[in-house]
Amino acid sequence: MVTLLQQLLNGLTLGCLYALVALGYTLVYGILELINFAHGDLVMVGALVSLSVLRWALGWGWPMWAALLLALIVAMSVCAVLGVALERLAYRPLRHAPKLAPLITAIGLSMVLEQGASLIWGRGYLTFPDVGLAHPWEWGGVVVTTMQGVIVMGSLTLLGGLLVLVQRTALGRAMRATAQNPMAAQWLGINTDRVILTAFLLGAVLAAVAGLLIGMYYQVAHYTMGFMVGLKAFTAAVLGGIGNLPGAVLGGLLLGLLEALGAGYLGDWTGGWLGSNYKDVFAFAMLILVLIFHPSGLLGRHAPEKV
Amino acid sequence: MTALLDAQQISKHFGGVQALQQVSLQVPAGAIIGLIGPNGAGKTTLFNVLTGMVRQDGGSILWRGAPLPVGEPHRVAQAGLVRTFQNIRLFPQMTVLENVMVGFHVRTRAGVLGAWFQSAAVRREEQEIHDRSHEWLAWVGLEAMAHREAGTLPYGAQRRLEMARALATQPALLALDEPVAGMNTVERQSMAQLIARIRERGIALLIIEHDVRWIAQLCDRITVLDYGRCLAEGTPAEIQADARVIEAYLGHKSS
Repeated sequence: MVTLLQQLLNGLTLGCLYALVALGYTLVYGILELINFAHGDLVMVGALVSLSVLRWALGWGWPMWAALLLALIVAMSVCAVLGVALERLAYRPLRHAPKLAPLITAIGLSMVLEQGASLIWGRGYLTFPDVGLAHPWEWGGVVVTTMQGVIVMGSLTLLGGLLVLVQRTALGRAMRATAQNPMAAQWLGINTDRVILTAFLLGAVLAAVAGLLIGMYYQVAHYTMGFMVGLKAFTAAVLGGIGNLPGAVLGGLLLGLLEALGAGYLGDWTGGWLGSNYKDVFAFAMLILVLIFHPSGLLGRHAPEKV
Repeated sequence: MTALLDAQQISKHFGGVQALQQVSLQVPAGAIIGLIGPNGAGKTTLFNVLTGMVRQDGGSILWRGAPLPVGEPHRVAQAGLVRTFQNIRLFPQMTVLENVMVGFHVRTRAGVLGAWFQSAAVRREEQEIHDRSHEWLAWVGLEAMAHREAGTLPYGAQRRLEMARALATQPALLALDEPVAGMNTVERQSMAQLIARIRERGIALLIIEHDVRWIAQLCDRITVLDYGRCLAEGTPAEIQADARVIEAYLGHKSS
């Protein structure tokens, strides 16, 4: 029972991080039907930028909260600029090209970001400064760190904020209108280019936050870390039904939980034959099962194949 | 009086095909202008040129005395010229009410920050958009369906919703591409009444339609296109009596 609760808590933490990144994929896909494979690398940039800012600020003797705040702001700004630049310079010129062109471009951009980061931060694993939120709180054997609390509360606040933005505000209406029929949206006076830019901007800012949180949580950052995070988050978005925002949150949480449960129980279930290092296999096997029985994802709509 | 929309000597060709040859057309403020012609006469091409969807090869188009921003429909709509399409383009997964609320976007300010911080001004504006969208729905007779998903409405209601949504942008000219295509006689008459009521609000209309009798009862003036040329232009009575028009277009229909 203790193991179960502990793994559920770990899974929730992980799931929140996946959900933050998954929203970036699903926001852009919902409007453009483009899988922005470079999105995971924005998480990496967010982590590495906040690592540098934290080291710099702490080196100058800044208090921890001020250093974290600065790291958050700088990482969000850098990722926002990058996200907008990707859209303006790489994707917008291909807006009316066949769908394969922006897809290949996305993979290329992912490589450009990774190699660019390796030039700035090197190819080694970098240790994230200890931000001192590791204080453990224990209830009957179940341990929660302050860090996990910060991650879960922070992520859920952002996720809720984004859902409110999209469902309840004029900007969100413009985004949904653009997603459902761009030509009609334009003829109602909506500047769809600006709406698309906003989607990239929001996704990039969430990626920056995720990068900082992931760096703090695992205390390590590396120029290729965006690949696996991106793949997992993309999986989460597909699991929930890509293009569907609550679906991305659900998919992220579910994937995090599956992974944590796989890590906690695979050894027991298989009599030690498969260890916790098979947790990814377990999570992806679940994805395959969901897609076999419900191809459009858990909350997705059955739509005609468009790609 | 100068026209709202003034197109002079418009030509357009696609490759070697001359789709439009020196067609002129004016829409005065508050008027209903009809555009008719056999299939392939160039009606849709002219419509696309007049609404800034494609650039003409020759001639000039002035909207309130200035050129149209070609290729930027959102700016055309902001300038007060809004169009619909032959196939209905709603936001099918939004409610009927939300569809109309999107129409108000053009006349409001919706920034990322304002949306998030929900200032008092933003909230007041939202409330006003909400109330006025309900008014438009009542005006086109869809109030009872306000909270249904737009994609689930019957065909005629979807057309009305499209009109309500376009009217929410407060256009000076509403351009309708075959607004009664696929409708039965009762629905056609009800749409004609709606269009007449729109004109009473001082909004000009430009309408493409196949059904000559239907459009003749509505329009102030009609332009007839044939093989990309302006075959005739005049009042509905003049057009219906014009020998060239009868030969080219009405001949096989009138008995």
